[in-house]
Amino acid sequence: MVEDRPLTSILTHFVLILGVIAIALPIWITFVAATHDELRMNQVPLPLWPGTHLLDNLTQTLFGAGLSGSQGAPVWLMLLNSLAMAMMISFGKIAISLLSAFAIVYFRFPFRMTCFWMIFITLMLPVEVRILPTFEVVANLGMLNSYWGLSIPLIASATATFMFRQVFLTVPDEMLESARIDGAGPMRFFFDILLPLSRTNIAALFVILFIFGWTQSFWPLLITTDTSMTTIVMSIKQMLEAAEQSPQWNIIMTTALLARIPPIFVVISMQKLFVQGLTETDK
Amino acid sequence: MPFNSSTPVMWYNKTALDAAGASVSKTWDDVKVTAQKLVDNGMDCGVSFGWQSWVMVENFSAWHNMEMGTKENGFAGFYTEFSFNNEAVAARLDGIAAMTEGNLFKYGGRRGDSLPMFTSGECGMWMNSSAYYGSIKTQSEVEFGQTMLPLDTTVADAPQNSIIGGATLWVLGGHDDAEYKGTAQFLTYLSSPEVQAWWHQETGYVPITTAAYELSKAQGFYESNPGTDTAIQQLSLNKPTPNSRGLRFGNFVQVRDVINEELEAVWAGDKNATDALNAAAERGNTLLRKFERAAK
Amino acid sequence: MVSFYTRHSLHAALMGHHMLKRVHFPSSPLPYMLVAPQLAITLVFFIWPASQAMYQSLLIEDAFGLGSEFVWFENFEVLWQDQHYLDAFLRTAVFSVLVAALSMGTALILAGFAQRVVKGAMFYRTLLIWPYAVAPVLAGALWVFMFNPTLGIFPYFLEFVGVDWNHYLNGNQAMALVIMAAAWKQVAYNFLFYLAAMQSIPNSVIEAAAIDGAGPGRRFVTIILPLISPTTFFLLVINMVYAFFETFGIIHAVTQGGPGSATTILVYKVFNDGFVGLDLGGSAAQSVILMVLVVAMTVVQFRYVERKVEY
Repeated sequence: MVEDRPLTSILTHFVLILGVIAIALPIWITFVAATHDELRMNQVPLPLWPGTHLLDNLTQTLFGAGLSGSQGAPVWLMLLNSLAMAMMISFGKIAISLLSAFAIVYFRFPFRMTCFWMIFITLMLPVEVRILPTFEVVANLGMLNSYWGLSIPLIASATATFMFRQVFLTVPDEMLESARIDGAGPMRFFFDILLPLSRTNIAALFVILFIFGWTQSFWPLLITTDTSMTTIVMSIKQMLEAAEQSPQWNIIMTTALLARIPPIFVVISMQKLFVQGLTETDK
Repeated sequence: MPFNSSTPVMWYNKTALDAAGASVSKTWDDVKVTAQKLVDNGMDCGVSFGWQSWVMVENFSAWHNMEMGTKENGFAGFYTEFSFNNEAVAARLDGIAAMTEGNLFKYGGRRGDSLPMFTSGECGMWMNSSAYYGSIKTQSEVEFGQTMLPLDTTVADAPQNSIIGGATLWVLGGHDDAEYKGTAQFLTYLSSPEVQAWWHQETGYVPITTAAYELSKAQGFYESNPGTDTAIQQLSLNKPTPNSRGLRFGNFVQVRDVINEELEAVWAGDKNATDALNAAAERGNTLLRKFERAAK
Repeated sequence: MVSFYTRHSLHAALMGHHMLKRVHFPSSPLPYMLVAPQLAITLVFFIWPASQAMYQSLLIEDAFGLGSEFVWFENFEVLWQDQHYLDAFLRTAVFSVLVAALSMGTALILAGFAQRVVKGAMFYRTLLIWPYAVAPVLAGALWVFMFNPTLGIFPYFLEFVGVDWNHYLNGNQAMALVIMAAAWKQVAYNFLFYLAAMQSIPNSVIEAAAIDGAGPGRRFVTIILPLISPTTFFLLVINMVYAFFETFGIIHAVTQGGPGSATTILVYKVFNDGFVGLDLGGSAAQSVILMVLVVAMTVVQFRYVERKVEY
């Protein structure tokens, strides 16, 4: 920094620590809620300090039926479902975007611009505005209650396509020329040259897409009715609506804790890729 | 097949009532007196309720033998008009709104959101489905009881009967015989006296067969848990009239949302009950007309 | 939506600049096979449903899809005359502006301080960015739990300062709650972009100002703020879009649009009228209006990029 006055320095750290606390407080409160029993969670005032029931709550949540009185799936199964959905969305988006970007950048073919515009238009149709008819399509295709129904309607992505297009455009033309001299066909060029060159971009995109997929709640809520297909994030919404009882906060917050760990772990452990991915594309 | 059926009852906090020297309320006048006593004795609030359209409009009407909509509450066919925007309902709602003064009444949300107010000992009385029995039992240390909905003596001299709410199990067409056989067996199992009696005693839902009620009685459930037959008694209090048989309206989920919205304006003091009910009826009628056009 | 970087390339692409490699493969069926998966998904799950929504917006249908009547633009006329819909429009605007202001303001202050810390900037960044990974509905569950009028921690403490918190009754409090939850989740995103923008300002610029005697506060206002204004504008658009569409999960978990309709924003109304109220035509008409809004926002984004490119 330009100057180093102790007072401003203290103020700086003070504000930042305050910010960190404000941002983290909700998480602390959920953690505390996950360590108490149901009776305690219905008494005023709620605790601010952890109790002794974390293990009980974890066992009941992960391997029991979760909420007592409901026949929900155990949370370990929900975690698996969420993982499957997030993975399918991430890899699906990356795969189809890589392929179409490759076609658009490296081939001249009739209706090339039409294709481009059709991909572009997906930017303007977020799932929220076409929710009902999209649901009908999925239902008619018999994809309700399946991983396909959960993931495929969400994997078309203009941003990913455009990001790869941009990456490919920076690849020197000489690469292709020398590849052709070596007698490499288009697919060989794609796999041997383009894919390795885009490795970091793919990884960065993966981090963002994983979070995008993991945090979906509305779509799975519509698409799945079978409890064995429940994802962990949507289950929170279902638990909040607990029929004929107060929400069982200890169990809900234990589930919320478990639901947050994977994406937060991804963000923190791959922070550099995350920042790169966020600034390059955000869906 | 009707399944998780229930009806609203009034829950009360025995300890708090005793401490305040109040008795269990039978009429709305009692409710007000008791609420005042509870608050005077240091409670945060006197009374609250949930599912307000169901409890305070639909059941209030049936309980006092008033129609909620024309054509026998919709049972006699299409082209009904809502008529819950009458003086009796409006006067009651205004009375409740006036009770927000001094926290005699506190509003706590649309569905069961206000339950914690009762279970944490904030409110001494709470009106909502009998099916909260199971959760109040497990989630609260409050010593509680249940009694019939209060009577508004300015509207009727005696209660009629309350109406049922809940859901129904449907069997859809297009499956093969083996599946229907299985379904039939399952439904028979579900409605067997033992299963129904267990379900009723654990949850507070109403048993769907007389046999299950008789079994619960024989098991001594009502004797050892006084008040648990309140819902059944309310439902079978009198022979239902066209006003208290039930409701059949199109787009009713949306209508309930409208009623929720308008009632919340009353509790917040933004509208008086007459205006709110008139607006709700008008918006509700629009929804009915829309339903008829599409369904005709 | 679209990021800064992508939109640069998009803009160039749409203007027809270097769309295609100078050296490319000869025409063959291969490119069609390559774009087929993406196009198929786009057609089936985007374009077809969107056109269905447009068609349905001209119909009145019953809940089971058995009867329907073609009514031209009646659904739109009804919306136009429906005070509740118009209110929802205004409410959405207020909501979005407040969410954007709160989360961008917080992020700006935090980034402003964080960029002053040489040692530990990364440490603070790590601790501030993770709410991005929290699903909207989880954020909603967190906040509704903390603010439960009877049980929550915050109402308990608010009572000591004389605030009677009941977001089930008080529309303004309900609005404040969903705004806080939505803004909380978005601070991380804004913080990252602000921090990156501030770190890209050349040190020499700041040093020159310091030599002229400008203190840290003055430098922030007179030098840093103007220099990062493109980022501010970019974030404003992104935050508006976020508040318009992606906060559905928060509203759904926290208030379900109530009390009254105090927190019913447009995207929630589409869902509520369509899935809960089963008013298919009316809901579809609202969808179409939202689509028009997205298109408008996208256009604003691109106009901005254009200016940015010239600058």
